[in-house]
Amino acid sequence: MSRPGRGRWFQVFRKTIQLLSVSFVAYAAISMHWRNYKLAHNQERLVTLMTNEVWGTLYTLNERMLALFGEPHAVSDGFLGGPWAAHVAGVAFVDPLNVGAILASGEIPPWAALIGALIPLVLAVFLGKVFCSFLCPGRLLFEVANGFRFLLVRAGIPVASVSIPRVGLGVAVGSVAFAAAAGAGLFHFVLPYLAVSATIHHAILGGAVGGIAAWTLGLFLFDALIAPGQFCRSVCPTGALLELVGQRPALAIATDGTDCPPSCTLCQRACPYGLFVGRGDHQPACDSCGRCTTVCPERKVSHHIQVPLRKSRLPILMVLVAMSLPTAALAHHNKGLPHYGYFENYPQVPTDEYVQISGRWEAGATVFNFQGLQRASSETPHDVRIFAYLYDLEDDHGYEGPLTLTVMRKDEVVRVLNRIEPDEEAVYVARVEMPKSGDYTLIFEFELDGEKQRTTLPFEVDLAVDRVNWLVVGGLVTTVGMVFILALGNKRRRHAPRAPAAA
Amino acid sequence: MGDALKGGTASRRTLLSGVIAAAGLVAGQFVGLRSSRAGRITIRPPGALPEKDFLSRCTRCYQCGDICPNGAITFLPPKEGLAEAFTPVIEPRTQGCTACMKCTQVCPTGALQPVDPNPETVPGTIKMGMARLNKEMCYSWEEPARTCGVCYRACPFPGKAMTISLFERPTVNHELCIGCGLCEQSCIHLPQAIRILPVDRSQT
Repeated sequence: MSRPGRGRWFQVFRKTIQLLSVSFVAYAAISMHWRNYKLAHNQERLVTLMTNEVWGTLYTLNERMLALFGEPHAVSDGFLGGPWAAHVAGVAFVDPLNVGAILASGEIPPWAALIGALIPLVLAVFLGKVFCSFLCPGRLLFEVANGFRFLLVRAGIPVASVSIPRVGLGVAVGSVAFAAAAGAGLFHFVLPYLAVSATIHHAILGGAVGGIAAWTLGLFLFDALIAPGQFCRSVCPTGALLELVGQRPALAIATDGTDCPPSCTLCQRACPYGLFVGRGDHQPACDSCGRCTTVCPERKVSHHIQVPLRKSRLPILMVLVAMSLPTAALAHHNKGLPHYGYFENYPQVPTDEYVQISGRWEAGATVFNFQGLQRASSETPHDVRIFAYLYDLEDDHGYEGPLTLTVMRKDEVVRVLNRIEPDEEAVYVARVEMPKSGDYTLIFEFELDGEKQRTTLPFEVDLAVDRVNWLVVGGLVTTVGMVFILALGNKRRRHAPRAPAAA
Repeated sequence: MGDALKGGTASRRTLLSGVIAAAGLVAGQFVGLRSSRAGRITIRPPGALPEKDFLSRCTRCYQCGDICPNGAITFLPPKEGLAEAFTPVIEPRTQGCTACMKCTQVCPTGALQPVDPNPETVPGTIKMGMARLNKEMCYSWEEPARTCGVCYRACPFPGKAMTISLFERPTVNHELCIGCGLCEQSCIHLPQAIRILPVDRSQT
């Protein structure tokens, strides 16, 4: 019943922009590596030698592309960040919420940031919530979630459909107030687009990706299984803010004015927010994404848009691969550093280093979770080596006297070691069988001028660090599998309305 | 606008919104007062404002990490405390700062103040931290000396921030050291005989 129309191209356009938005985040982060190669090697042959041919080719491709616009390094520096705050072609944008939080904390941000924050608001006045439908990577995540939900419903798996009161403005005020006092970290948890782009950034820049990736996955599952479209519609503070600004946008979706059959709710069921275009009260919450126009049997809704499902698979793939990369990357290296030409993980360079300063004493330790080649075949797999030192910050020298080291696990003493002098230059070496992974404390006790001194150093031991992470393997398999399922399950969906929520 | 939408009456929504807003305000005060990184080493990128102002200005946009050509800037995970979550840090042991000052020029909110990258003026104008040399551990300072000199070769301001004497024994000039961490990154002793310790940034 649905025929291709002008709207289809609108939808292709929208999907392309969404894809570009996510790609931008990934590109901005990957460019860090490009700049690094540019600085370190500056030619394809060396990059290929140091990494592989794929990176070498990409390096040159990127350089040629950038060279079209000017000096490559300088052009590259103009593309940074993500939808939260970005440099696009050298122009800075900042999220209005964040500028609000900075102002609320009593600081005056640079004028460029103020202007950068005004641009999205001005855009919203004229075009409504186009940020949501075109640029927000969070929306893309939820569209994937919606497809996933559809598959679940078809498979007969019950899913909930919880409705959340519209509290977006409250969340906006609350998170700005929070950020004014305690920094902008909280925004990662109330803005899905920030969660998605932070996941991508942490993954590519090599940060700790676990927490924010888990939150992103949680948002995905929340939307797919519990409350479809509700986070965007009711919770997202940016959505609420743009809605407040864009009450009468120039770009909008509307019916042709003729009466609809009284019992038809197809457009409402197609809307990710559950808005009812047929009744005409969808503004200003509507973000003109156009999904409703694909389902109206009489084509009453303007922008007759057909969802190009095939094309929509590409951004899905991008997001899922981007989300699965971090775990794969973390699983590859034993301790986060490259293993300099060794074909197997070999903990030559430990990164488990701990330092704590309390008063006069700087206590530090380098911890090898396992010092050997094969933990699995080792007789002492729980053999942890600790290289500890003390530094006297007042007298400015390393401590070299008698020392009692106590390894504590909560209140339980694991091991007590007495040393008359350092094992090697100012370093006390201990080899301890650790009972299990977790948090430990190292207690340094010694005497100085007849006075007893005591300082502590918390550290972590992960005895399973080189085991196969089945969570990662499972996640990768599920991700790839899901992409295939979505691609296969898409043919019939072309003409089907959005899956009704199971009761 | 709201009557067609499910999700409670207008007054209930207003009440709930108010509660959420108030909760954000209270929780922000609570989290802002306590920092979980006391005693831990936090080295910020160059040009960072005093810590409190830095935290309220930093927009967590990852642009400093994107532009860093040395991949030196990483971001704190939320488990390190929500107040500092996702803020940029430099871990000198993993990757030091090459003092190109690009991060200071792209920061959109001025959490990192712009710094002129001129190598003549950089030493003395910024201070991310301070190199602390443990002579008892250092190979060159040993008796008899095992001549090393790796940190001096890594220092971006040799002769200024760091000088060497016989047997390549390093000495840190505390006036001019910017705390870039290239010495700590390069140190071949384990644990590092030279380490970047944070300086008091509550005033600067």
